[in-house]
Amino acid sequence: MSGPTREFTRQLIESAPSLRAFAISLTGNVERADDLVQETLMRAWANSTSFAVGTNLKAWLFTILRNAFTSQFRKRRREVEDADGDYAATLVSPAEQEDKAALDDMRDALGKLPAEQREAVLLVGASGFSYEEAAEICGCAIGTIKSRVNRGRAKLAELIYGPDWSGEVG
Amino acid sequence: MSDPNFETMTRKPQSPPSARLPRKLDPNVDAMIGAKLRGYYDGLMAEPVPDRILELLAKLDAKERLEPTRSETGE
Repeated sequence: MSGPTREFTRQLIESAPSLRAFAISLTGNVERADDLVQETLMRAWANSTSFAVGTNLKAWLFTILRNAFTSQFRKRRREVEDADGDYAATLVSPAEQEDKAALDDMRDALGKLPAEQREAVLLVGASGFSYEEAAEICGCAIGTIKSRVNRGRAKLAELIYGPDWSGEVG
Repeated sequence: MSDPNFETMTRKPQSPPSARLPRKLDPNVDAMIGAKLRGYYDGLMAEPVPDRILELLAKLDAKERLEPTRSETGE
């Protein structure tokens, strides 16, 4: 069986920062995030033949990472009662940010979202995927993704600006 | 514009991708949230990739050189 092409490996290298940003935002834990990124890259490399050339490599990589995270998350939830409990505590802040306090707000607020809303908000609002791509990555309907994004953003507004700012949240 | 009922997660026929942001959230607030989210995320994207991941990538790249693909060797 043939291995990945140079081009494929080059694209893996290019994708590392965006995979990592997604993983850190999902887990709230840099160590765990880097483990996830490593696992994702190794899986992608080992399964490169199952990637259809010409399709969206970034979406494929995010799907691998998201699935790895979700299965770990489920496992952890069985082990620890509150899998989100360590989110904010261990998160490293982005280095040298001008408006660090504001970014900390966002980080903390993301950590308080239900995981499915968090991933939807991150995929659509930060990682640059369309609703359709995000739905494929999460394996759900577009309507479900929209609903999660809407509710997640409303919840972020409530957490960051207070209940008066967020409008009528369902 | 068809209105998704945000409370339900039922699989109704998918609304068009143009049906975008929540009505319930003030558009200005939503824009602020969007900008804040991107600011946060851009900060993460700008962080240097840690050595252990760079080393892994270098290993994969080197492995590829040692075991070239069929398409590249023309076999």
